[in-house]
Amino acid sequence: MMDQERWKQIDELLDAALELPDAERGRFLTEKCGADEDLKAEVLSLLKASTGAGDFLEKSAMGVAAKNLAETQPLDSNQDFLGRTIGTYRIEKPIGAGGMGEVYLAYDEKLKRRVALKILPAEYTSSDERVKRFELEARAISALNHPNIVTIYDVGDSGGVNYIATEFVEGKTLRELIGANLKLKEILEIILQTCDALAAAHRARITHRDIKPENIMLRPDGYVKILDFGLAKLSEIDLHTMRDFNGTAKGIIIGTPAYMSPEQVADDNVDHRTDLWSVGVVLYELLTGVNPFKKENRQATFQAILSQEPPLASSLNAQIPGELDQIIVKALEKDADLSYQTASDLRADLKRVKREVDSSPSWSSQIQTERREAAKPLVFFWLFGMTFLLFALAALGLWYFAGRPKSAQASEAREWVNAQNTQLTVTPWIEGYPSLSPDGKNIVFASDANNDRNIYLQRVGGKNLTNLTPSSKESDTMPAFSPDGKYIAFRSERAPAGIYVMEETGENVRRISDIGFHPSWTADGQKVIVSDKAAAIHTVHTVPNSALWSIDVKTGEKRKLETKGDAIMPSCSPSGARIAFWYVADGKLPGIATIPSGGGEPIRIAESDASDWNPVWSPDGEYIYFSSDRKGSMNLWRVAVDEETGEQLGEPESITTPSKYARHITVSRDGAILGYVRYESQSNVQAIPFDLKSLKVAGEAVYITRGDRELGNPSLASDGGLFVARNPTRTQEDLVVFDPRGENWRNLTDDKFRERLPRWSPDSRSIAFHTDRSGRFQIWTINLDGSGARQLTFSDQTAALAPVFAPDGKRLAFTEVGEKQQYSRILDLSKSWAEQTSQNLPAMPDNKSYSVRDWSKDGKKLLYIYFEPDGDETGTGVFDFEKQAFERMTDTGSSPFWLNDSRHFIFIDRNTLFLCDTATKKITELYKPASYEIQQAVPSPDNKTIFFRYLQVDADVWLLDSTQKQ
Amino acid sequence: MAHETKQEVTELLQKWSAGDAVALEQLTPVIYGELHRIARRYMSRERDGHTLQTTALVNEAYMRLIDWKTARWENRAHFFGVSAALMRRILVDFARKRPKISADEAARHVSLDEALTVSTEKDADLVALDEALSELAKFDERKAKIVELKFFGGLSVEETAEVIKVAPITVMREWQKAKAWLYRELSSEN
Repeated sequence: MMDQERWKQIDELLDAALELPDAERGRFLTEKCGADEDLKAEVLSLLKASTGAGDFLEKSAMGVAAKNLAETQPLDSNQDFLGRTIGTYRIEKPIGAGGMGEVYLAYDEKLKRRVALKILPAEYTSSDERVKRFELEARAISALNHPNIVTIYDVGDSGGVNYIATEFVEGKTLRELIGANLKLKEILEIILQTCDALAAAHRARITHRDIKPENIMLRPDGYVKILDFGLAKLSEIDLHTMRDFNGTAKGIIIGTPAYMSPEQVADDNVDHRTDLWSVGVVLYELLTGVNPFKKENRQATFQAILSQEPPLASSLNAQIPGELDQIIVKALEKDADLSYQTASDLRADLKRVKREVDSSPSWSSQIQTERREAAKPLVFFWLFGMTFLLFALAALGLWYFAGRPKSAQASEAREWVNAQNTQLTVTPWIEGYPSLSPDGKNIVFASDANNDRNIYLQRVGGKNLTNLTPSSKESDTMPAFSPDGKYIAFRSERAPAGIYVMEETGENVRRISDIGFHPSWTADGQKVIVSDKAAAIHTVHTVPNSALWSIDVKTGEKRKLETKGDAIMPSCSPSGARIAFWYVADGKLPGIATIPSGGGEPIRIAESDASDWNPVWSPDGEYIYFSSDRKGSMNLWRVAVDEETGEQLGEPESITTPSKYARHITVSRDGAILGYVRYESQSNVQAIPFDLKSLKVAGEAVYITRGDRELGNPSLASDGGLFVARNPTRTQEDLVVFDPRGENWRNLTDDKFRERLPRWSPDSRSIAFHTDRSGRFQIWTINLDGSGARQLTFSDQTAALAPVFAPDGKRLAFTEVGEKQQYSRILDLSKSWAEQTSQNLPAMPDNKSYSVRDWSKDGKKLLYIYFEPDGDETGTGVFDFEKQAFERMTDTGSSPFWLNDSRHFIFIDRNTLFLCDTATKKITELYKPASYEIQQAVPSPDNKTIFFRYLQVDADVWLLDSTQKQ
Repeated sequence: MAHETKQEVTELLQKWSAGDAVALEQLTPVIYGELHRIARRYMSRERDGHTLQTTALVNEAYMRLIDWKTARWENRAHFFGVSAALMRRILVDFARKRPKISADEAARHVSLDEALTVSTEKDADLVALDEALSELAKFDERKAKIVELKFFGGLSVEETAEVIKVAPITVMREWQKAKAWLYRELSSEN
């Protein structure tokens, strides 16, 4: 051992030497140490070690231990599982994580179904015996086959990874629903179903042990599903595996303490009654928004569970009937022998309360819950809060009755400020085109919940969806209630396609027209106005070439309405005087206009440089509601109009909803409820390996980028260094660059203009794209560091779009968009716009429009997509410079890109990646994602990888209720 | 790290520092679980070919188990001292139980990218470090304590300074010297 005195000496010298420059240290030490060579050697060796130590110990021990663990793990376990296959399950996306492991949505390749796959952490599966016990219990619970218990399909292990595959449940956990204004009836229904499940499990001698809001799910159709039966058993610590411990040999559950029963806390004998206690806690929390025992820490929580009586639920929420208080008190009785003995007993008591609630209309009102941490202060907050709320409502009411000020600025629409915003549909599917019944009690909408798009009816405030068009195998969409609420008009693709009308029950379906989309009933209910093109999402530069038609509901007689331009998404005014629609004409940006109901001169309203669309007339005729991105995100707006003349009466007012993208508006007859679709999406870049020999994909798709972005049109530089992509945000549309690891993000542009379709120059130094920074979309280039932005085209047509570099980088193909026609041109990059000699590519023999998308590497051929006169994209083709000939390759598909052999190209059609051999026109399917959507595929410069945009979309119907303020 | 885990760990450490022996075996699986989680992050990075700065990429914030900010009780210094010692015990125990990585295996994990990079990272063998640290404590307790707090406890220089009641600059200096001594001890052992 080192002598302390000696060390002090060394330490001081080391201190001093460290202060000195390297070169002076030797001389300094020679001087100080004199004849003590050992001392000098010691200090010198420590100085050397200090220089060499570098990052040594600079990472925390936790990090070091984790890294060592990662390095000694078998390669196939405990990894990031995304995109991998475990057993027969292909893992698609994470859907949650709990104390018991991560849960993924996976696809069972063998049985062709979706499953929820839970990967168990190694610490829970180290004991074979414990896993075996769990498997036995899992089998027993599966054998019950109870509708309210999630079915366990499979428990197994593959390559050292332990997993549980269960039924995949769409819906929300009660955790997500606490505070979501569930009605008393709904809460009771949830708990009744929970009791059903527990009664069945307990009869089979299975106790859940970990009932909590996270483990109970509510499906959109109203079914309750209990998750993770028996899992708690796995998490009991096996103390034989622990070192240095001399305590009792009982298991300890790692879980959420706030739902544990007194016997669990005290570690006494736990039986099925522990689940009933937990149900009591969950019920209390659903009713009040507050957990009765949760305290600032575990210890205090345990203390409360063992010895404190929580306040009566009714003291926190006056709407709770006294009988329910009594049930909760009994369920939370600390002596298990005095509490409910069976789930059936609890169920029976709850059922009695439910019967009374069902028969009394006063109970159907919403349970207002508040989220608070501790129970006691809440009583005070509740009283105080109520008083304050009353004042606020009174003030608001006075203001409202004093008259609506019509501000000159973009103000908020008063009656919708703080209106209660509730989610009506809770599905992972895409819902669209809601239409409220005139009495405001029902709502119809289109949903692809059943694979095909069908029309569904749901009660406002209810949960059950009724499919009104179940027998149709083709898309049914855009439903619209007739003014008397007896009929629904809709668009159907069933043969023969067209506009159909049915009774509100879905019966007596008949076709009234062979054309039309977006039906809107006239006020007298005699006619339906339609547009002959559809638009689901707003676009800036498409030319929809659409007219409005009036269709007689009885006779089917149809008449075209004069609109002097393209019209889409009509909405009839309530007096029958005018029709509002989304209007595209005169090379101006699309916007909103109205015409007299018989057709005629359109009058534009709310003109701006923003995207305004989806107009809907308010039931009193005073306003036109619409979707607009004038504040950045696509949200709801309205503008006052004169219903007779179409004259705009004030500035647009905003109605702010918490959506990134709100569309498809419907307003109830009394004007109090506004329905809309909240559209949420994110798109990232994914990559899939591609084998050049077999011309097939050679692996699973992996994410390049992650997160809540809307990346599009990814493109990797030919030197492989950076990606460029379009990155629209709430307020801007810019280009970003990032490295192939999806990191080191940098905005290439950062301005209010829209930058789109970026393409790398072949030398990887600059990027061409189109942008509206000059007022209209034109083609620009910019250097990699964001400098040198330069406009290349000065087209006098509507727009110049979609730049495509020639492989030599000397020329650039692009598309000029005229009012009715698109022209493909070639730009000589060595000359300015004014010096360009005519470089129009030839017109197609049949005068079809086409737009160039890629230039072959040998420079001899172009890939293009066809545009029908109405603006639809209808397939791909190749233009050969030598032959000066066009040749169609496919009838559908978009986003074609050449491979380096200048013979094959890839493209995307209906969510599938294809390969086309231009020599034989043979088309091969390459890849289709199991869920969600892929778009805009592009090969890497070496063709060994294909990148694409992976788009995850969810759209649900939401209701704004101006009679209920938040 | 998930906020809840952090809270849970802090609570358990609090109990431990108050003399509750049971807290240890409740804490150990939580920390092991967390280690597995972080390790998975490493693995996924490696698999994606993100190997250039594997270590730097994993946010250090995730490595810290003790929630300093919520620690509002009287004797912070005592708490952190005890916690760091406990973390040391758990992590070294963990390292002791795991098989040592062989040279062959290590080579398998080095991808092309990493092989081309000159790594400046020098990871400690926790078991050997633990022994060397005990040795250091015999003649320079302060340095050993600083290493325990900073490396095992994950405390910052300022927090370490607060615990042992010296100026941050002193912690820096002591840290540098302790590192040099430990580094020399551990490299000469091989």
